[in-house]
Amino acid sequence: MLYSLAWLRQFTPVPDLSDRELSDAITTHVAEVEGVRDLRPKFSGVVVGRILEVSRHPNADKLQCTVTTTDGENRLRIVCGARNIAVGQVVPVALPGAQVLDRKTGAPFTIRDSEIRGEPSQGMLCSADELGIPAREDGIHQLDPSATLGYPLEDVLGMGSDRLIDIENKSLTHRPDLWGHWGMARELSVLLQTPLTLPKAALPKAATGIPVEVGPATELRRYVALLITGVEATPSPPWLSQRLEQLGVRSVNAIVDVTNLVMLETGQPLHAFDAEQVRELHVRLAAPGESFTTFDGTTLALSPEDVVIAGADGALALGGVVGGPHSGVRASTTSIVLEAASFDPVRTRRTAARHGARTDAAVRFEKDVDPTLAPLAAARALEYLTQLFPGVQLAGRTEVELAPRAPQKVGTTLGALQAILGLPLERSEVTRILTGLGCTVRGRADQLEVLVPTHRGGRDLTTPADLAEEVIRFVGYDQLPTVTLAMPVTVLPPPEARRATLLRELPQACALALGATEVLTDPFVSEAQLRRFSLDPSHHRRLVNPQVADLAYLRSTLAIGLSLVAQENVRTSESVRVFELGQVVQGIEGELTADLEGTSYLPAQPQRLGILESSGEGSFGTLRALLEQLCATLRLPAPRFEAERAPAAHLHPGRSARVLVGETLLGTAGELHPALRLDLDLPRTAIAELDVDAILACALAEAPRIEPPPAFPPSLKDVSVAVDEAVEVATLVAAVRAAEVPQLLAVEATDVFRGGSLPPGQKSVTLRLTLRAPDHTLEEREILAAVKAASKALTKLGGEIR
Amino acid sequence: MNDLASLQRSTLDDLQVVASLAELDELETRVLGRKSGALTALMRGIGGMDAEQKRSFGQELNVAKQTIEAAFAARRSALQRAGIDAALSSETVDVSEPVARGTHGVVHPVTRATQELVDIFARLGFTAVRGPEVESEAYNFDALNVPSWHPARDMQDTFFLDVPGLLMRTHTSPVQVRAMRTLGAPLAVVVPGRVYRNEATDATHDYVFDQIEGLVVSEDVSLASMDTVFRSFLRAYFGREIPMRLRPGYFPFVEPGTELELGCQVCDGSGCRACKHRGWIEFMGCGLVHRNVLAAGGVDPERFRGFAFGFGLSRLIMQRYRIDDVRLLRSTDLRYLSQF
Repeated sequence: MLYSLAWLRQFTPVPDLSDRELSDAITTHVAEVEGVRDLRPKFSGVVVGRILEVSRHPNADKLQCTVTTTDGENRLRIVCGARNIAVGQVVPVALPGAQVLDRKTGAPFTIRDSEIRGEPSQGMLCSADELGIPAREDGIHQLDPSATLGYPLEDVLGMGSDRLIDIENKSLTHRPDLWGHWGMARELSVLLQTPLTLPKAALPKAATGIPVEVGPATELRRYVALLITGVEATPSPPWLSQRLEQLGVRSVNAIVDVTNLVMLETGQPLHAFDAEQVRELHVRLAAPGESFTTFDGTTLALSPEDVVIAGADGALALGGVVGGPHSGVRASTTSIVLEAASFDPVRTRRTAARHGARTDAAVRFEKDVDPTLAPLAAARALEYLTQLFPGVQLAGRTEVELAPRAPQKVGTTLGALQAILGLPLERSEVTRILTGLGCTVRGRADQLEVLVPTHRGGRDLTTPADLAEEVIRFVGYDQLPTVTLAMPVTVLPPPEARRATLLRELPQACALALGATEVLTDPFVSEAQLRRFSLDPSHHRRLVNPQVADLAYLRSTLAIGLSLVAQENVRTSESVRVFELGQVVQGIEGELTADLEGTSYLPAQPQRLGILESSGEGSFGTLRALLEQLCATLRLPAPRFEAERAPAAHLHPGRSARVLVGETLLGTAGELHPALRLDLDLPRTAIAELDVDAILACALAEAPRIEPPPAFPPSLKDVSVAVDEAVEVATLVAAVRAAEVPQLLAVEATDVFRGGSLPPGQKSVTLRLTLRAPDHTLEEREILAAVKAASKALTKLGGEIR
Repeated sequence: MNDLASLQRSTLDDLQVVASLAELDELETRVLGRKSGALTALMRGIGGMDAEQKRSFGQELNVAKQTIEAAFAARRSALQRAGIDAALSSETVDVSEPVARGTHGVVHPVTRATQELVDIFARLGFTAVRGPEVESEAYNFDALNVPSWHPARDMQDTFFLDVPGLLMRTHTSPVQVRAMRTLGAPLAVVVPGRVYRNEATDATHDYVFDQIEGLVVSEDVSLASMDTVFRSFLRAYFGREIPMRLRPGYFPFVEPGTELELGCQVCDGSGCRACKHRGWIEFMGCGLVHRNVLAAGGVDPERFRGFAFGFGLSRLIMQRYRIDDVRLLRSTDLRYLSQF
């Protein structure tokens, strides 16, 4: 929304503030100012001229020589580089001594009588950039051919001393009143403590106007239809067209321009119908299958939820949104039906959204325009029309009021406002601010009974907190004192607290203990990527409106993103060892309720830890070592690895495992399937994906039991056994554990050897037994007995002790 | 007698000329060895003496033994020290020689920033909680006082899912309501996490980024106490006083709704391109929690008040590392990431 400072000053005498002061004052008390635009000319000494002759420059291909006059008699020879010039054009001419702007840098410079490539040039024809004005086309700025030669350009362009204040629309979402100059003037009058004088427009008495019938369920609040004769669709006078164009509204003709001017002034959208085309009006819901063509020729299939304004033969306008092609003001129009209506904000918003028609009117109505504004705005339009067309007559007036709005009452106390703000307040100051904003303040002592004006809409000022905001806005946030708050202590339930600790520790554990670099991959994946990983897209949640068309699916695994990272880096980095912590989304229901009533479910969104290793080795073994290291770092029990011969399709079926701690499955670890590796052009790569909640479940709920240092030394004994390849190391270890070997503290495989004297298909595994008694140093025979027991268990598995 | 005195003297003399630990060991065996040491032999001789002799000779023997043992210990210590000194020069290494290295990883700057901020808020009394990234309209909008017809829904471009009513959360604010419903009032939480906006990406916008949200609910929250907490936070984060101001800002879930701005660090507030010549840069949206949001969280708005705030991490990270394109925060090029 753009505000004209000059226009605001018609309603309240805003003192002379610099751009920065003006912008700062409004930003800190009303809404953020995007910028202040100075309309004062940035040039001087530029006048209107006409091109009399154009010829080739004898010495330069890109230049032309002109003869231009600025008074009809003089013949100025001016060289020009623009391509769009032609004889007869009326253009801005900078005479020697004039100030214009450098086209590239915007810096001002002075025009001199000069010679360009050997040809004299007694001035310059100017482009919009060189004048600092909005450009309509490339090249030399074209003026109205009727402009008087020799006139100062600033006068011809109607440039005055105005400044425009630009506020982003979304900061005004809650303020219907600020969609017109009246509202901003009111704010400034409270802020600057200047008097506010808004026009006291009132509708004169008139005969009964055209019939207006309001159908059921339209939720229309008010409808004012004025039958006005004696108007003409002539071009607007410069003051009117310039004001609109400066504020970003295209000038159409005097009648339409007045409706837009009043909208910008009051915030109330108006619409003018040609009275010849409109004998009666029906405000109704669209009929099933009804369609409507807008003034610019777009045909809309209407919904039975849309409100239309219809004549005898069908819809003339989409209520509160856009008008039609046949009923609007045309060149022949001499009388109009002026509509000032108040449409329901929600209905208008839905209609505008449904048809993609966010017009100036719709944008205002959805903010809840004050219904009491309709007759005021209609009267104001009548005043402007009377000013433009002395013969204007109000030939008829129809008013339908269905939902009158009275000022709402908000009861509170000064103490309540002070408590909300944490700031001592003077009652007189509170009253001054609220009264200035249009409230009526009553009540004694601490009591505040506030009647809220209708121009703030039905929702913006309804609670004590809303009033507190109005007060602090104008008292100033910089007046808030230092108030130390006793912070409430928030205790999470133990699992949540441990989860938070784990999530805090995991990134450092992975980066420092594993030497892996954290990456954030795209949470959205493509159908092609899913298929490449043999994942069924139909089992995945999908975005209906993706930003990048391909990336429409929500990832169900971190493996896709991590593999792409490997692919991206494998040629440029010596080693690729990365991890990611992120949510994945599954096609099944999770536990979190999606609605406030707790009756529906969000998809399951487990937090995952993915680790990818592709540093030359990229083997399962390297990855397993990393996972064991990770568990140790996190002080988790040592993980177990169980061969998974039917893993997810992206993994190698002979080199994958389930990762468990105790009986809890943490996730899977394995090498990428050779076919996928070939597809991605990757070296051997291993990848693990673990569930963070499962890791959490394994983290000890209590601190481990700590034993004193042992009093007697352990004995370490290595046993090597040759076995068939098919026998897993884990089976050997488990057999020793199960064998009730006396004094056995721990058993661990330390080496696997193949080749040498071993026949093919055999391997030799070395197991290290740690033996210890709590009360004495083991004697040789005890050690031998233990080794014998372990050996027996291994032999049972078909092993041969070496 | 004489034997003992001469043994002591000769031993002490011999010790003077012992030049190595091996010679020392040999001499020690000769004098003190358990089987055939000279002193050991003298000690054995004591067995054949009468009581009087035994006592006086025993005393002399003990004194001599202690003297000899002390002399051996001193000589051993001197020889060891000499050995170490002699070895030092030969053990000198070239400190610039290549060495075996382990790999080291990097924690992502977004994670680091989150941790740093959560840690600061923890010192101020906030507890970190998290919430789901796929959210429902009910939590992302309705519970936050943004019903379906509300124009404020246009303020954030939303990714919708193929299941009606589900979306990618556009902010971390729904976790405010989830936290109130699970933890009750009073409470003080911060919520780090990823959020999604359906916007075209450019140097300053990405469709996924990280935010931190905060919520305090208690019986004596006020706008002034909110302001005071923010000042403490900013001092802790920036390590010094930094100009800040509140100004009005519209967010449906807070009332009064405010925006916190920081004095522009580039121009010290005098106005430059970075701050669009305003002298101030928007830092975060904040305000007192709207009573409808408290009610949606199951908190009695007559008894409790709350304040809430939320800001994106991208700009802080970009400022810290002087990054000029937000999209680089999601780069997965390890040559780039390894610099953090």
